Formats: sequence, C-alpha cells, structure tokens
Amino acid sequence: MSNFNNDPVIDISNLSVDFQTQRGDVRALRNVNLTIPQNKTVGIVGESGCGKSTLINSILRLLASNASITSGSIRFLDTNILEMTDSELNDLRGQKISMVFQDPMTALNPVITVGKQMIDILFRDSHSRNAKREKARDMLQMVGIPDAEDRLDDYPHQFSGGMRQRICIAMALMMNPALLIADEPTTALDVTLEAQVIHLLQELKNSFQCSILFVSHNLGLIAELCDEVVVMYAGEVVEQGDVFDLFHSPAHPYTQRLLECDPARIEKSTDELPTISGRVPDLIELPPGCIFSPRCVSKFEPCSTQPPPEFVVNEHHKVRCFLSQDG
Amino acid sequence: MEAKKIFSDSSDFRRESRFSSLIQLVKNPLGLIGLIIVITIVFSAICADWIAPYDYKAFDIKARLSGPTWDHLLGTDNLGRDTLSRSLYGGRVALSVALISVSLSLLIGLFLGMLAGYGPRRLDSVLVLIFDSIRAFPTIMFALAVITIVGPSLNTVIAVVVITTVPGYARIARTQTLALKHTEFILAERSLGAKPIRVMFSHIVPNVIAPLLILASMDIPVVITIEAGLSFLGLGVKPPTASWGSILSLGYSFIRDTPWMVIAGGVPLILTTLGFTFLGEALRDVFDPKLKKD
Amino acid sequence: MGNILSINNLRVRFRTDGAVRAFIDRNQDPYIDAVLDVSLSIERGKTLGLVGESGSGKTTIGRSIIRLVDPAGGTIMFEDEDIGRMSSNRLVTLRKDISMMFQDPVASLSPRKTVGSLILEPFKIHGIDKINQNQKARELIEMVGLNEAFLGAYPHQLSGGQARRVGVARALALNPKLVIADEPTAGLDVSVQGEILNLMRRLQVDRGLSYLIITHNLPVIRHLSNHLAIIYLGRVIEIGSTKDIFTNPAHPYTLGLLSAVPQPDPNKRREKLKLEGELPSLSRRPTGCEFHTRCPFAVAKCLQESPIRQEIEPRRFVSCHFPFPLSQVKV
Repeated sequence: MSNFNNDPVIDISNLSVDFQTQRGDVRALRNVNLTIPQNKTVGIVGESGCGKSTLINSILRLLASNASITSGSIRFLDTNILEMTDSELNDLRGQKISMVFQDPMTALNPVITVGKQMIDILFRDSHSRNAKREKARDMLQMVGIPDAEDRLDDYPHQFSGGMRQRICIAMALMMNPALLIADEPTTALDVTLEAQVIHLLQELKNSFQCSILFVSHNLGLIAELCDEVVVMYAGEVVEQGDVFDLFHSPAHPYTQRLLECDPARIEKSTDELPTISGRVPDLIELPPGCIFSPRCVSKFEPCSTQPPPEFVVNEHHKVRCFLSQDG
Repeated sequence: MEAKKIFSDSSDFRRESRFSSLIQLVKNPLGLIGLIIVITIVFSAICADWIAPYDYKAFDIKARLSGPTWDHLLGTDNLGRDTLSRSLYGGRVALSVALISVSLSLLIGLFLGMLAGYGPRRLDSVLVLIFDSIRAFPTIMFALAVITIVGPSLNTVIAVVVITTVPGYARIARTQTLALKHTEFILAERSLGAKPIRVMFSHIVPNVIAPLLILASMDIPVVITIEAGLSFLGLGVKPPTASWGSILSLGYSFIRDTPWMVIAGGVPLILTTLGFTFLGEALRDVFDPKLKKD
Repeated sequence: MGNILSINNLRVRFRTDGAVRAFIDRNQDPYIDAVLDVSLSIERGKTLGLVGESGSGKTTIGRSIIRLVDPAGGTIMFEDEDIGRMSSNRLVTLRKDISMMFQDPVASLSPRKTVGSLILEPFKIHGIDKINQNQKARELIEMVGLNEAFLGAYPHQLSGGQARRVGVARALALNPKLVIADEPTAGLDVSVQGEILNLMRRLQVDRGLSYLIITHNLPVIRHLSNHLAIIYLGRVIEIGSTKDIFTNPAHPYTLGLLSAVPQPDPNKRREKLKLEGELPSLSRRPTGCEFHTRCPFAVAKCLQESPIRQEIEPRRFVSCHFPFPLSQVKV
C-alpha cells in the first residue's frame, strides 16, 4: 500500500510518556521526534531501558494501564493515532500497521493450525474461504516455507524456530500494511538463521512496498538493514540520521562510545574491551541537564545544567548535544 | 588485582522491606478478620487451663441442664458440666488434631513427593501408584472402616486423616520438584558437587514449601470439620473429653431443655472454620503474586 | 605448556523413548547422539572457544566435562585421569578443580539463598568449614567488584550484570584450574559486556586459569579466546588458533558462520557466503558429510563418504573433503 503524496508513514512529534509507579512517575519517553518515510527502513537502536519498547507500544496504543501520554502526537499518514477511536484503532492494527515480535515460540497460538491462524487475519476480507487459503499458501511460499499447501494444516510446534519467525512475518504482511514494526525479531535465532530472516525482510520490503521500523540492540543488523537510524538513550532520542552518516560520522558521544564498544567493530583482537562507565540514570529522578552527561567524557559547561535541544548537523542528521551546537 | 578499577560502579541492588508480606496480609480485610479469629481461638485453646472457670470433667448434678447463669455463663449439660469450659477445651481438641495431622501430612507428603520427583524413575512410578490408590478410596468409608476395627480415639482420627491427606501434599511436592529439577540453579549446585540429599533439603525444599503451606492452611478447617463430624458420631473423642462435635451431639439430644449446648458446640466450630479459611485464602493471595514474580 | 584437558572421540547419547514406547514403535535404537565424535584440548592458562549454533552439542560437551551428563564413549583426560571413569567420590573432589558459570545468571542462583550463602556454598559442599567464612565471602565479593552489602541480597534483587559477577565469584571460590563459561555475555548490553570479559581476563592472568567458553557470539569470542573449535551436529568440524580461523577459515560452515555475522558498518553489506536451510534433526542425520545438506560446494563424494580429520597446518584440523586452501585470504 503506498500513498500518492509524500506524507511520511509515521510522524512522531514531541512524544512524552510517563508510567505511574509506587515510587513515583517514571519518565519513560521524553520529547521524542521521529519520522518514518514511505518505503524506507528505519532502525531504532538502544540498550536496556532506553525506551524503545515503550515507543513502539505507543504507536499501536498498546501501553500498560499505568502509562500516560503526557504530550505529543503520533501521525499515521494524515491522522493522529492518539486521537483515534477504538474502531479506528482496530482498523489500524494488523492491517495498516502490523508487528513481528521477538519470540516466535510464543507469538503463535499453539492449539490452532498455522493455516487457520493466517486465514483468521483476513477476517475483514469478504472473499471465499478457498481464496483466503490460497492467499495464505502464497504468503508461506513467499517467506520460503517448502510444501506450503501441506504445511498450512500443521501446528506451530511442528515448525522450527526459524520457520516460525518466517510465518510470523508472513502473517504480518498478509494485509499489505503500510508499516511493519519488527521488535528484535532475530534475537532468539542463531546467527545463520538471523542472516536468512534479515535477507528475507530485505526482499519482502521491495515486493511489498512497505516501510519497516526495525528495533534492535545489535548495531550490525541496523547497519545491514536500515536506511535511517535513531539512537535512543534513557528515554530520549539522542541522535538520528542516515545510516552512513551515523556509522561514519556519529555526532553524539553516546553513539560514538557505543560504536567503540561493539566487539565486531574492533579490528585488532584486544585484551581489554572498552565499556561505558557508570550506569543508566534513574528515570524517576532525572539528573539536570543532558541525560548522558553523568557518563560523558566530553562534557563541558552547559551539559550538566541545561538539557540540550536538537541541533541539525545536515538535512537528515540531528543530534541532541551541545557539542554540535555550531553545526 | 583491584576489581574496582574494572567496574566503575558497584551500585546498589533493589532493596525490599522484610515485612512486606505481613503488611500485605493485613491489608486484606478478610485476611485480617481471619487472622484475628485464628489468634483468638489459638490463644483460648492454649490458655484453656487458666481461662476456663471449671474443669471440663467436673459435675454438678444439681445445676444440670440450666441456661446461662452467673455461675455458668453458657449453662450446663446433662451431667452438670460447665458448657463454656467444655467449649474452650473443645477448641484445644480441634486445634491439636488439626495442627498435628496437617503438620504430619505436610512433612511426610513433602518428603515422599520430593523423593518421587528427584529420585529414580522406578521409585517415582511406585510412589505415584500408591498415592493414586489412596486417593481413589473414599475418605469417610476408610475412616469408618479403620475406626470400627481399631476402636475410636483421637490418635486413630489423626492417623486416618494423615493417611488420606498425604497424597495431596505429595503430589504438589512432586510436581514442584519435577519442575525445579532441571532449572539452572539446581544444575549449578550439582556442578559444584552437591550430593542429592543436599540438593533436596537445601535447595528444593525452600522453593517447594510455599504451595504446601497454602494447602495446609486450607486443610486445617477441613480437618477440624472431619474431627467434629467423627466426634459427633461418637467415633472420635472418648467421653468425658470434650470436642465441639461431641458437645453438639449431646446438645441435640437435650435441645428442648437448653439450646445453649448446641450453640456452644456449633458457633466456635463455624467461626474457627471460617477464620482459617479466610486466613488461608489471604495467604494464598499474598504468596501468589510473589510466586509469579519469582 | 601442556594441556589441562584433552577430550578424545567423546560421544554423548540421550534417550528419546522409554522402553515401552520403543518396543511399540519398533525403535531399535531410541537414542540420539547429541555429541558424536569430539576431540579437542585446552592448553594450561589459555582459553578455548567452543562455537556452534543451538543443537550443535556445545552445551552438552561442557556438561560432560563436569559429569553432569555421562559420556557414552571416548575419554576426557584431566591431569592424567579420565573424567568419564571417575568414581562419584572422586567426582566430588573434581568439582573443586573444574567449575562452571551458567548462561542465565539469575536463574543459576538458588532463589531463596542470599548472595553470601551462595558464594560460600562450594566451601560448605566440600566440608571446608575451618576458614573464616565471613572474611572469605567478603574477599570473593570484592574480587568481582561488588561491595559487602550485596552479601545480604537475594538473586531476584540483582541486575543481570550483578548476578553474573556473583556467578564468577562462586565459580572461583575454591580456586579451580579450569572454568567452563556458558555464554558469559548473554543478555548483557554491549556497553557493559566488556566489564565481565575484562574481569575474566584479569583473573586468568592473576591465577593462571584455563577457560572453556561456550558461545555462539563470534565477535566476542574473537577477542576472548586463543583457540577455537567449531561444532556442527555434535562433531568438531574445524579447530585451530582463533586468529587463523578468523582470517582463513578452511571449512565452508566456518565461512558461513563468519559471513552471517552482521557487520556494524553499512559499507560492508555484501554477504560472502549464505547458508540456506537449518540444522538437520539429530534423529535423522544426513549421510556422508553431515554438512552436505547446507553446503553450497557439496559434490557426490560429500553425500557418500564421511570426511576424515586432516591436519592442514600444525595444530589446525578440519573435517572436510575439500577444505579451502589456506593461502587464499577470504575474510
């Protein structure tokens, strides 16, 4: 599904989300700005506690009951998701925006055949059951499941982990969504299966003309698959831009340190691996100033007192850091 | 070597209040009521010797079958024995039977269940067969049969209750043990060289005991009722020992003369059963979310 | 230098069916070979990486070394004794010399015990109670960079990284000679992975420890190990020095693994060798060279004959009919 004008598929503007807990309000997301253009793959990279799960749950309005969106908007094409009614949301989920999860073992219903689960997704369609079954079979073939016609009648446990993830991808693409959200889809898979799934996503992206939002902590996967990258730290977007810019001229100290720490990037075999000292701050009592400043080696005067705004490095490259103040 | 040079922060761990469970229990209104009732009954049973105005065996024929008076707050029975005192002592009987049988069942069931779960497969099959056979037998019939052969007494009641309830505890202990057997921490202990006895008693027991304790707390009111029932039928305590069941039984015979015996037998029985049931359910609610968290 | 551990032709089987079921299904051989034929050795004071995907048998190899599972064939020589033939009494003392760190750091700690109690567990198990327990516990917890207060914590109160450090303290409590670490970086963020690995490295230098590191994380093992053994379906298909294997892989599977690792550089996107398909089932092993079902270079011989282990250069072994020539620099 593609649009005739150039609206971004998703435009998140100044999004902030809090969670109410016994100890206080957890400021899980703060002033997030993010755009997903049509037919592009955008990667979100971050470590534990950065807020990437909260962000994607916000897009589909799947947040827990103690969450509240305190500011901002999430536009899907031309409507604000945060203002949609329940029936509009139902229309959205699984059809215009769909999701692939981390664990293929638990994402499928173990007591219903794969064919039936796939046909169920087409419940909005008025075609005959046979037509739907054909579509399901075609999808299985597209994701590389051999003997697709017979396999429709098998149960999830009769497939291996790698195949189950392919089935989940097939199910996500059945309704031709405008956006596919993939949340760490290969974390549970071995490296050779991971490579196959990534390759599959690349191929399907071209045939289905959809955008992909790819969430991962693995920098290698992000580099391989994505056109644009968003780096998150402790609830904020600290840097975002085109993938080549980000990997070759990262502007934010956190991004730079993250790249330095990745063992796959360290050319020479070394005795002492680099780390980032300190730890992620408490999101209930935020430090003043820049969120990364307590751990930053390049900090200077304004960093500990004022939170930096987003500066523009070039057309697509933005960074939340005073070091880039003068461009 | 200074590890501090490698780790820039040895930050704190998530601390928890030690009394969080107790506080949670008390916050639940039914749990609180249950706790109060149980404490009251236990206290009065323990202190029966000091609280009871009369010896439960003492007669006073002249005052027989009277209603409440200043001398006898709940009246007397057909032999002139003080109903209030007998009711207090009846609590002692009920509680001791319940606590002894439940504790024995729990310990025996825990041990056998763990053995079945952790030990060799053949042993497991044999034990499960035994448990299932016992459970297939109707409890009351079994109780009546045994008592008819051996003769009524509290010890018989305890023995019957223990035999019929052990399989319930054993099954739970076995299932939990089977689940834990392949967890990483048990594997880790074995890799350190721990022998099976150590693994079972030091590492499996603490992680298996919680559901057993909950079952025990739910079983106590059941056992109290069984004892009362058997004593009511004359198959439990031997006279002149007072049990709520025997008080009720006598009370029904003399109900036209004084209703107070029935009250003195029935009301404590109902209250105690309710109290333990509320407490047991509240305990389960406290432990359940914690089990989920673990 | 000498080897601290030498494994030869190790075989480990698991039963798939009970006796009754096997009889009904006419299954003569209700076993699968998780480990079929593994030979490797660990040099004293060095680190061997055991690399393979899920189902390759690498975890089983680790467990058979400390006899958590019993070998069905082959020998595991530790200082001139075969671990496979040790009596249960001798095994208890063996576990002072060889210890293990498990994959899930929190789950490998007994939930109702405090950290202090868990660290001292090895002393209690082996009856070494003459030492001053409090002092020992303090020494160990500080050795891994955590402060004393942690001794009173319970496992569920710890973060993954903290729990891992407790695991290290426990594994090193009795000063073992060999430590087996199963996925030491699983679940850790990249920015803190280095902490655990650097600690392990420092301890190795200080105490002359030997490590066996079981992992599927290739970028990490490249920095951490001196030697590497690649496992496929319960067999070692390539073994040699880490540096040599990474620069010049000889077996197609090794090349496939290395190619599959995503590189954090968008300019390095082209894949060198793509492996199709999945690991075959252990109950239906392929004929001949078991890798032939996924090997892009397989020919008739590969389907018919099992390859023999060849020493293609000193101390570098490959099991392949047509290993890549070493002069070619491919990676």
